[in-house]
This record gives sequence, C-alpha cells and structure tokens, in this order.
Amino acid sequence: MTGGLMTSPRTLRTVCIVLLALLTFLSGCGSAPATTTPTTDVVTEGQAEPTTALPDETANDEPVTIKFMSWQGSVGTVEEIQETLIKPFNAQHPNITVEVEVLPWGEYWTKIQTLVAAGTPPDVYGQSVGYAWDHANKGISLNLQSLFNQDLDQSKFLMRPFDVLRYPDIKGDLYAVPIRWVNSALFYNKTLFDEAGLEYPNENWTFEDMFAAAQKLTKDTDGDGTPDQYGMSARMDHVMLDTIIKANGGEVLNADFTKCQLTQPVAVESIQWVTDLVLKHQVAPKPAPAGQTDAAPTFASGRVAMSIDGSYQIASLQEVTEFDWDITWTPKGTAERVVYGGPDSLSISKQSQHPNAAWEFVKFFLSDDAGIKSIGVGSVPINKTIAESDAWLKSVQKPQNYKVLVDQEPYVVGADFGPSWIEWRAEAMQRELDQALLGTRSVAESATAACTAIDAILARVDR
Amino acid sequence: VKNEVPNVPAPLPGLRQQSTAVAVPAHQRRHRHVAGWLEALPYLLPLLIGLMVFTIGPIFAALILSFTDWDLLTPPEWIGLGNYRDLFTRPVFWTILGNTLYYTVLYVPAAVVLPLLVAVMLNRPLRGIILYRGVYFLPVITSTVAIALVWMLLYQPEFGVLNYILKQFGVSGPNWLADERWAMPALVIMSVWKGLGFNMVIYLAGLQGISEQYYEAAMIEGANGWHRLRFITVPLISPTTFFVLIISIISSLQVFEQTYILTRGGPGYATLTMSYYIYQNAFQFQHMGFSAAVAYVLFVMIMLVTLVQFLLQRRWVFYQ
Repeated sequence: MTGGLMTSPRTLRTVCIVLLALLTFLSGCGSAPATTTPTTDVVTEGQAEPTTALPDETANDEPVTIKFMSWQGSVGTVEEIQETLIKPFNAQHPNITVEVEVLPWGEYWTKIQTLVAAGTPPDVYGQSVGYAWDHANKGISLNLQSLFNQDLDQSKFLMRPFDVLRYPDIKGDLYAVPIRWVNSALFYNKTLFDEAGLEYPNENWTFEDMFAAAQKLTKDTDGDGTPDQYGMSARMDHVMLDTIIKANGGEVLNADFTKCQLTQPVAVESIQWVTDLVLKHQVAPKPAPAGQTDAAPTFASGRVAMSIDGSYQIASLQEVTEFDWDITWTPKGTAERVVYGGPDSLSISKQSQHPNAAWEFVKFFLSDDAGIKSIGVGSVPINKTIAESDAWLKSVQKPQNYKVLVDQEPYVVGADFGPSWIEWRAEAMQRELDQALLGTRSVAESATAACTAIDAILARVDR
Repeated sequence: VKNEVPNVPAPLPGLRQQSTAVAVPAHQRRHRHVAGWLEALPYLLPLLIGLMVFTIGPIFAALILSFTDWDLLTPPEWIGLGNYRDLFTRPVFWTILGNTLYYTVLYVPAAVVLPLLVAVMLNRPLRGIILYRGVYFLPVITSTVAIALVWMLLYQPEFGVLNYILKQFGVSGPNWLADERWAMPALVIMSVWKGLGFNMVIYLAGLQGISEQYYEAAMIEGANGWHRLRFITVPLISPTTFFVLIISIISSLQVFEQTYILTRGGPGYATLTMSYYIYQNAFQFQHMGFSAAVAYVLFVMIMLVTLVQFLLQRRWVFYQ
C-alpha cells in the first residue's frame, strides 16, 4: 500500500465498485456477444455453518425471502422455475418466498461479481465448474459439507460427480452441490457403420479399437486427396484429451492443482496420439476455430463417424434426421476407464442472511419432488431415484442408449476443476496444444509451452 | 462556450450584444461573463456529467486500477507496477502485441489506398451514382456480427464461395479461418471490405473540395489520368488522407469484434489481439487490474503512434 489517494483499502474498494458498476452499465450498451459456454459447466455451492448456530427461520415458520439467480439455459426461464420448482417448493415451505432472476451467461457472471462486491449477493445461485473452486477459495460460497452430512443420505445420490467439485481438492468439502451432470460418451453414426458393414462400438472398446474403426470409416470418395468422410474427431478440449490422458494413467495437473503435468511421458504420448489422428493418420479433420462449426466437418454434419464428446451435444443432435446415431461407453485407455463428468450445481452465498432457507431450497433441487423438468436434455439427474426412473430414461427418443450416461457414473472424473480453470484450461492449455494439432509446432514443444503458461497462472492464485 | 451560444435560447442574445459593446466597464463585463457561464451551465451539464461519469472518470479509474490486483470479488490490493512487470515478462503478451501490429500493417495500407481509388471512380457524374455510393457504404452500417456470419460462409473451406472461385483458377484455397497463416489475412480482408465505404465517403468529401481548375489546367498541359491522380488529387487530398490514416491506425490497433466473432483469437494464438486480451482478462479471468494495465499500454501505444503522425505530417500533408 502506498500513495495518498489510495491509502485505505476501503476507499480503493469503493472506487473499484463504482468503476465496475460503470463497466457493467457500459457493457450493457454495447452489442453483447452471444455466449457459447455450454450449460454443462454449472456448479452450485452452498455452505453449512458447521458449528455456529444460525437463526433458524425455517423452524419457526417466520416468513423469509431468499433470492435465487441462474443463467439462461440452465434450469429454465423465470416462468418455468416458478412453475416447476418454486410452486412445489412453496407447498412444502409456505414461509419462504423465492425471488428469481435469470440472465444470459455473460451478464450473469458480471452481475454475480458486482453483487458480491456490493455485499448483496443472491442467497442461492447457479455455480459453474469454471468458478466453483475460486468462489470457495475467496470465501464467497458457503461450506455445505456439514449440512449435507446432517440432512442428506449419500445412498440416494450418484456420488462420483460430487467429488469433482470439492475444495481444496478431491478429498475436500462441498461448497457447491451438484443437481445434475454431463458425461463424456462415444457418439457414433449408425448409418456410416452400417454402410461400412462394421459392428457398432460397445462397452469393451479401448481408444485403440476406436482408432482401428476410424481408419476403416475414413473415405475419400471424390479422390481429391482429402477425405470427405472422417472416422472420428480429434480435439484438445477437456472432454476428449483429458479423458484420454487420465485413462492412460497420466495427469493434467497434480492432485492439489499447483503444477502442470503435461510434460510427463504418459501425457505427451496421449497428446501425440490425438495429434497423429489428424496429422499422421488423417482419420480426423483439423479442428475448426471455436464457435465455427462450418469450418470443419463435425459429427452433427454426418461426415464424422465417431466422436468422444460431452452429453450436452445430445440436445442439438435431437434435430438430426439425415442419419441414425447412438452413444455408448467412453472407451478405456491403456490403464483404466475414465469418464469425464461436469456437474451443474448450486452455491449458497457466504453473505446470505438466510442460509437455512437457502439450504432448504437447494435441497429441494435434489429431492424426488423436483422432477426432471429442470434437468435438461443430455444432463443426468444427481438424484438416483430420478436418474433410474423411466420418466428420465425415456425422456428422449435418441439416443437409444441414454442409460449409459447413468451407468458410467462410477468412472466419473472431473477435468481438474481447480483455480482459474477457464484461464488455464479453456484458454491457455487449449491454445498451446491446438498448435500441435495444427502441425505448426511439435507435441513436446507445445506441452512444454502449455506447462509454462499453466504453471504461471496457477502460481498467481492466492491460496 | 462560444459554440453553444447560438443554441441557447432567451437570455444569451442579450449577453452577446452586451459583451461586444465597448462602452461596458471591465468589472461589469467580468460580472456578466460569470453570469453567462452560470446561465449556460445547466444546458451544458447533461453533456459534462455524461463525459465525466462515462468517459473521463473511467479513464482515470482504470489508471488507478492498473496498479492494483483486483479480481472483482475481494477488495483490490495495491501492487504498484506489478501488473506492468508481469505483463512485459509474459511471452503471450509479446505474441499478442505482434498480432495486433501485424493486423495493423496489413489493414492500414489497404484501408487508406482502396477507398481513395473507389472514391475517385465514384466522384464523377455517372447515371445512378448515388446507388453505387450507397452499395459501397452498405457494409459500414451493417452490424459486424451479421457481416462476420456471412464471411464465415464465404471462407468455408469446402463449400465457401471464395475457395470455389479459387478452384476455377486451379488454386486449392486454404482453410482460411482454421489455418494459422491465413486467419489474420482473412480477418483483414473482411475488415477492409467493411470499412471501405466509410473511408470512401470521407475521401469523396475531400475530392469535392478540389477545384476543377487544377485538372483543367493540367489537361491543357497534357497530363493524363495517372498524372492528374498522382500530382493533383493525391497532394491536394492529403489532409483527408492524413485523417483517414489516423483513424484507420487507431481502429486497427483496437480491433476486437472481428476476432471475437470469427476466430475467438484462434487458431492457437494466431489472431488474439490486444483488445481481445483486455476483454478476456477483465471479464473471463477476473484480472481487472492486469486488464487495465494492458489497456493503458495500448492507450500509450496509440497516443505515441498518433503523435508521431502529427509530427511527420508537415512532410507530406498540404493544406491549401
């Protein structure tokens, strides 16, 4: 601290809050770019005060009002939330009034930040895997572990996705409670498999089996030297690459999220394997820039036979009529089977005046009464009873093997949802490794560059 | 204040008369001057408040922010020059700076020369001239998002119009936006096309200020079309060219929308620019202080480049 103007942190903070308010205002005037972040990355976190006795508004039925915030495409519109969640919730808790606000993804996070800085955050809010760890680390979200232990029976839930969100590491506490999650799965084009006379992929497949089939499914029908049909897709995103690295026995970060492990031999070999699919074997197209589905053939275009992808893709594939498709188990690696899992969750603000009422509302999302309307196509309910009910299993026409998403639960692993996830994983690591996939730089150099960037980002985190 | 006077109604005409009257003593004049200010103030306030709150205030606040570590969630921490030190030691910053300059070097010559040629072509009494000018101006008033979506289709490697045309000449076109070497030129081509009409209109205004006499005199001396362009149009339009050059450089150093919509800064880091990096650090990574520091580096860069241009202008800009 130095200088006359800024001697008091409080003054500085006030200035900054005013500034942020201005920035928010101004950004509202500009053309807000459409968000492309998949809705799959939602995590909620709530906190129980372990020992402190909080005023229990819910016990004596005093009327309280709590605020719930969520983003568009998460659990529904304001009207839908009123109808499917708040109405049945109020039947059980008539004394708790829930105010709802739903914003587009980009605006949502700016608003949450502004409200936290101003000391008036929503009591319950939709949390993303991209921010859950940071919110726990900065004391924004409440530790919900003891409330969870006290009120909920673990055997009622599919528990693996919970571990994805713990703080400070996989053995830590819950600061966000999953309400549903998305999986990786092997998507395959049945029509192309039938044409080639190949057997469909099954639960015993390894990544090598997938590659062998991909070679048979890659075709250059017009003879111009470039395939017009590819066997599979190859991407450096967390759903595909991180799953392969881990299934082969490697790591992306170390267990306490402080160090990049991509330069370890297993990780380098896995990155090489994905790179070879594009550059050496040419069974996968070069990747398209983010947001550009037209720049490269995709699974949805019907010109890529297989894809390791997130189950959130199921929603957009519902509209496909040109070919038949299904999903099956994420293939096994050389060491084990790993399934990527990304939970959508809820957090309770540490500054909430009504944490108990907030917790009641969070619990309602997990209850049998919540139903499937707020789950969304391609996400699996965290509540076992709902996930195994016909209401959910038969809620979509395709894929036929929707159930595999539930069956994969025992193998679910997160994509190192630690500090500054969007910065180190979605940005730095992706950009550095894409250069290997483009062939502009070797895999070893790209892995080293990725680790340099990631380690610097992780080192900047105040723990 | 002088400029505001004609717009202000009742009391000011009187003020104007009085202030120009020689007979009024000095102290009284000063008094009336202050009174005039006070009267004008309410009319100016909306503008002044807007300017202070939305422009000048944030500019200074951002300067202060650039010396802090602030994640928007916890109180900012004063770290002095920490952000600037951090910035210059990051390899990615130099890549991004290089990308921004590369974009500028590709964009500015095209954005200065092509609109001039189009303006010269359209500065003659053709039938339907207004239609032609309108067609060239159309992209300017169309939103970048809409334009980017259309260009995405044009750039599509297999079915895109651009590669189809190239194929007719036996050239196998690149995967424009997904290729590290072609992504930036592709952004530049689109930007030049979009900005053409705006610069053209400015040039047209400039061209219409050149007296016909010069051309007539030159033609009598036997000057052909090229001579007239090179020795009359270009020198006489140089103040306009100077203006176009300055705004083109500023806008290209700040390039954001194109790269945000078309490539997200990719592939790899190939089209990641300063403005995009500022946006990312502020709103995606929550490094407000760091982001403000990058913004100030960009600000100083633009200031210096503009200053140098003003210093150099006397060598090539001719004011009549």
